[in-house]
Amino acid sequence: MIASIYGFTVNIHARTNTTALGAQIDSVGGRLESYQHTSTATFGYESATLTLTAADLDEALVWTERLLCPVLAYGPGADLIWDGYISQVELRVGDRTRSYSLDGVANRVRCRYTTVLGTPGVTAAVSNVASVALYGVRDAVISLGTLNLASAQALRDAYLVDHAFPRARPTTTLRNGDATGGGVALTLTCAGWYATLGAVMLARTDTATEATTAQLATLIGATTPGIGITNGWLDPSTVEIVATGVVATRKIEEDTSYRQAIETRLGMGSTANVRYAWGVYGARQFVVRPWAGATPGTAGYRVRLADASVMNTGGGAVELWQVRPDAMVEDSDLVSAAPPSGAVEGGGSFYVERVTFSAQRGGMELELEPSDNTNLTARLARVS
Amino acid sequence: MPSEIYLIDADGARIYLSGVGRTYTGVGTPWTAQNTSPFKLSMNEVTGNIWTPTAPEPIPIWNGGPPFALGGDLAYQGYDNVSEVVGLQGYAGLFDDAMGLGRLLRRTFGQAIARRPVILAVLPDGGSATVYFEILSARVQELPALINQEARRREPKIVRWAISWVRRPFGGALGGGATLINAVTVGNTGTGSPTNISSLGAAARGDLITAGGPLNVRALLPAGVPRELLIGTVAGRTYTANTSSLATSSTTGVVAATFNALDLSPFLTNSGLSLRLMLRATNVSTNLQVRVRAYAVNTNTPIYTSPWISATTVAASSVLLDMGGCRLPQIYRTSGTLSFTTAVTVDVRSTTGAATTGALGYVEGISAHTWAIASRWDTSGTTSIARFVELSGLPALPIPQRAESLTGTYYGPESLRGVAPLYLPGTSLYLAWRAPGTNVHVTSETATLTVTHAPLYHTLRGAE
Repeated sequence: MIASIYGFTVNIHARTNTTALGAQIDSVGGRLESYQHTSTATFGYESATLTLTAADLDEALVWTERLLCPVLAYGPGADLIWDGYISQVELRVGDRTRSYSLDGVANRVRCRYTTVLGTPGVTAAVSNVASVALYGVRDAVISLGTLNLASAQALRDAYLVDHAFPRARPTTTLRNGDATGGGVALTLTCAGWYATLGAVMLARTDTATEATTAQLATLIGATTPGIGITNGWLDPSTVEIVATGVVATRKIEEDTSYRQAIETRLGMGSTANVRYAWGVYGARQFVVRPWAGATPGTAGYRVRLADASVMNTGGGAVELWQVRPDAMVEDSDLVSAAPPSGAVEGGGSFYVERVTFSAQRGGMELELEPSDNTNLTARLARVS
Repeated sequence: MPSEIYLIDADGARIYLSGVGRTYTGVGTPWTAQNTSPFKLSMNEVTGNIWTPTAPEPIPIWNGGPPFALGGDLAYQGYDNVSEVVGLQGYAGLFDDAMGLGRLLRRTFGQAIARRPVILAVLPDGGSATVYFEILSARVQELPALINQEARRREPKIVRWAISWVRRPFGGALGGGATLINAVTVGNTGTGSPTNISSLGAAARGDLITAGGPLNVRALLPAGVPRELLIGTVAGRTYTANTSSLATSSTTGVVAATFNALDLSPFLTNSGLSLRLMLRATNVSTNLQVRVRAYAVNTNTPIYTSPWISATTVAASSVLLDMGGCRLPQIYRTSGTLSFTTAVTVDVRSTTGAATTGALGYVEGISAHTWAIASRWDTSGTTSIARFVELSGLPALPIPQRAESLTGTYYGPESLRGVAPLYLPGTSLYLAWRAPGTNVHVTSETATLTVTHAPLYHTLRGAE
């Protein structure tokens, strides 16, 4: 148990369809065997992985019904260190694993097709109301070849039946030698709330132009075309969103996810040609600000070789679990010549794109990744 | 009087391991008294080594080290369960009776999951204070001499076992914890009487009080509405009244107040302390957000900057805001520093661009060893934060921290985050409460506070 050493708390809440937290249904801080979370400069709270041992099989099976339940992790000072939801539950009993995931779930489906005359068509969307009530709207658009409308509708309906609910991904090995024993091991994989922007698609025909940051406020809002009309999990507040986005068209092509639409717009940067850092952090609030690399001489954190401590520039300790991406990190032991004017990084400092914090029985670890890191997992997380 | 070493099963019955080795004839339960028990602890190389409780091994987590530093710093330290082997003999009239004694031991240890762990009681010869451990798992193994030598000997049959057990790292006393604060009235504000600070006194006992002894806290709060309890073990608290206006229309933030009154001198000698800032404000609007920046006096780079915190969802209310805090580890090593004062700047902004309302009430600068927030959603008026079992007939031993609505009636679990209070010499308990979600804070309210403590021991215990 790491909690008795480090004092972390991880609370699980009941699902709701709004930003309001449901009732707390579990707290696993005292039972964790390992904890890891990641955050990135263009996502916010990105992922968390918790491992623990279930009290028994009954408890393990309860966890499989907790997909999309909010997960809030707190540090020893009761400070929020990560906020997201359960996206996958894997339980391992001996040689058997059972995995349930929101990946692949689609409960509002349309089908694109082309008639034998070469005319493109699209079916109406059909939804599974029960699945939407549990997991919110999750869109899928399937594209098929030459079909007529009736065939496309049939395929659409079959796809919906197949994907409306999480499917078990079991691996079962039966053997009579070298069988493994042990308890019921649980691995909870969690995603940050920003990931929910990738589940819903939209199209916008309005060709008027507007600042991208103002368009973002509309896209995360609670009125059309905001995502809040279907999935109300994000705080529509714009208080942490700067208003310096470049002016661009509002038009959004068919079958574009909210995430794609938002990243296309924020990727243009500001009117001052400065890149943005963005994401969803505490209280599910969207944050957009000029990236810290815009002011490379202003260090967010200081580290040193002698120990695993992180400090702010005022000398106050920043606990490892509190470190966030989008900051310049200065290595106090590496005194280098000033980088060329206009350069973001020098020998003694770098920009942190992604942060991975982990704690297990043997200690804690903080990994700070630069913008151009070659970590495959990190890259996949950013592009997926 | 010889040492008393016995097990207590889930029904409270004793099995004396330190008996006299009287022959068991298959009748009655002679093991429940020391002077009739058929068990004897092994005391030599033939029967098994002399046993005394093994001290738990510390598990340190080091921070840093060579070649970049002259040794590492101790960052954390915990203790794991203790595994040890105890030699035991049983005396019986018949072979079947001897096997029955082994079966008795196995059945007793087997209660650990289905009912509760077996309790091991140890009172050394000449001692007066028994220490109690919980045995979580055990294996009872006969020694090889039984099967080909001792089984065929005439009465009494002697069976020797090597018992391998795993027990909790610390032992405790039986029954409820020692009372440190008994039904004391505390206030919900940082000034006047009663105030929100209560000394934990000097009555705590055991081996762990300087590392953090477990406390159970019971706070009887005003009933009728849900409450959120903010609680910490603190070395000190500085209260500073300030009535600056919090009105602004700025959405980027403006300075509302700056003052220099927070004395944090305990940080000079306690590197384990954290700075914590609490802020009360009155008549606040729902579009008000507040941030604090703490500086060492005469510097212009903050040692701590809080996130922007929404004041409330209830217009025109008075609120208590937990602005967070940080550790200041470098201060500990600045031995030439004789005092340390923090300047605090309070920033405000509007989330909508419309004018905010509100005024500061006070700011508390707290030097905290632990900090936790317990939220409950019932209106029972009670919050119980538990770190140890406190039941008659069971040893007061640590459990994972938890919070519940609980007095005579159990209402349900509460949300607890952070680190529940621990006993440390010379410290106090800080206690404040507000409405969960809205932060609404009523300074005229009082609560009744009771705090108990579990003395814990590495091995043996003496009266103190």
